[in-house]
Amino acid sequence: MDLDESIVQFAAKLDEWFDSNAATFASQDRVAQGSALLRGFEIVKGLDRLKKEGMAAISALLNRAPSGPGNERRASLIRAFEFAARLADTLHDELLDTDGENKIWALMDDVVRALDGIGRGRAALDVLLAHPDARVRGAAGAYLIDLMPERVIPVLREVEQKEEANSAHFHAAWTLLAWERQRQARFIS
Amino acid sequence: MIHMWRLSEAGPDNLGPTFTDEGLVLGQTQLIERRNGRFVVRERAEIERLWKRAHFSRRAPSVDSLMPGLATVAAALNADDQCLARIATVHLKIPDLQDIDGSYALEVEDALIKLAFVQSGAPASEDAIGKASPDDPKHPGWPKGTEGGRGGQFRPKTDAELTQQIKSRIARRGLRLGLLTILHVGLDAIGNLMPGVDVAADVALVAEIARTVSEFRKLAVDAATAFDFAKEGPHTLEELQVSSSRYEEFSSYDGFVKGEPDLELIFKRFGGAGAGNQYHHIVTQGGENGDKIPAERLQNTDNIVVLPTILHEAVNAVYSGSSPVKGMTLYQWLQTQPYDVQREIGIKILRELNIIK
Repeated sequence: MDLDESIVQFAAKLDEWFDSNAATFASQDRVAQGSALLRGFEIVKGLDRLKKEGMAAISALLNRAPSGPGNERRASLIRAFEFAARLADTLHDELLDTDGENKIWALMDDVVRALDGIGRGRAALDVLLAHPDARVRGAAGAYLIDLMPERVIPVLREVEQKEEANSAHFHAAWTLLAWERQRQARFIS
Repeated sequence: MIHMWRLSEAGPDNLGPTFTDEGLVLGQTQLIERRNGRFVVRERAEIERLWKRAHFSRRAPSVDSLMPGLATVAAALNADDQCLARIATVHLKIPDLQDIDGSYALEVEDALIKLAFVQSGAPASEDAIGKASPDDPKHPGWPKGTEGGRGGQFRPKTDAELTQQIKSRIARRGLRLGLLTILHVGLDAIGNLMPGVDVAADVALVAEIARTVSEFRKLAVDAATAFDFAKEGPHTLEELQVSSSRYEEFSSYDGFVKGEPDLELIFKRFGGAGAGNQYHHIVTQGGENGDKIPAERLQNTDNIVVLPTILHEAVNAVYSGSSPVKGMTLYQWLQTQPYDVQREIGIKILRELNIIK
């Protein structure tokens, strides 16, 4: 199972924990409350572990084969970017974890800087503009809009229109807004 | 023994049946609620759940005898016949709840009903399962007798129904954030405690239980407020503004909440946002805005709206998220923009989250 799907499952466990313990916390039963609390801690620990594993996976892909063949390094970085985009948006959309989201976007900045040192640079992310996952298309568009606006703008418009009230939608909206108003982009302020 | 039946006074300590602007409540829990401007009795299955959970000070009427009486009260409220509504309520012979814990237990059950509604997207009523009902928000159906023989068949969702679902989803995210915050604080306080490790750990756990119970109860109230808000139809910006009558501005946030210093002793201004709610500034008031935008443009009745706390968290999360520019949050980036752009985007965020239409 993918990490983002595991986070979705843990989020559902958290819902179940709240729903099933409302009566316990309304009661005076301290023993039951203690057990409930310990179960809650296990869920939090599980989520924290997943997040840590996710960050470690991105770092590992980022640092993989730094002096190896360009193709291998590029593939590793693109994979890191794709994984990071999904993880960042999942953390926001499932848990409103903006701290985790922003840390992962900072890692995505590192990935893109690393890509800039190889061959076509970050333009290599253009393969992700056709990715089936809107989170990945939207994130790739945010880093490419200044390089290839004619390709990126229609992709972001489609994400903005089809996605609803989630990170993919908002990222597409802000990227388009900043570009159209001020020609600002992720690396151009 | 002769029993006297009466209505109670509304308030945080109320244990009996009483009226608020939103309908008939028992303790703090609604039996009749206002939906789209009309008073309606809650679903029978919901009342049954509440009745099972309630601890009354004396014998309460059965749900069978209660439901027709509640319908009479709702009809009187809809006819704006307050007198009849009150007389009919007294005739229901609903006793007070036993104590404040009993009232809270009912609130918790109410929150659970609403959460079940949100999770399933359908009412708690068992007989609603598997049918295309006009009242089923997840699988709405055409009403009985609809022309073309469509009665009972599924129909497309309306914008209002979609809005409600999205709002509920957003509220659920906010609730998760609240839960994780509570649990993280506890986890940090106790360290990596495992059950039954030692006496010190047990003592720490007991203290943590007390804090968590308190936080959990507050969160349950916040959740109920947010899901109530989500259940209502789409809101307009004007409905969420603190005053729809006239524009007012203040020289500080404190002035908005409490009144200008010289008037403070005479009357309070808008006061707190109410239980389970918070004030939200469409153009944010902190950071660079606090220095570069005159206070009156920020602290006024056009810029400040009331939001359920849990939905406010979801709005704040959008501001705290990444921006189009590296190294800045959206909140920071927006503050580099002119006031009008900030306001336009602030309203866009509320609209995209389906908080306003």
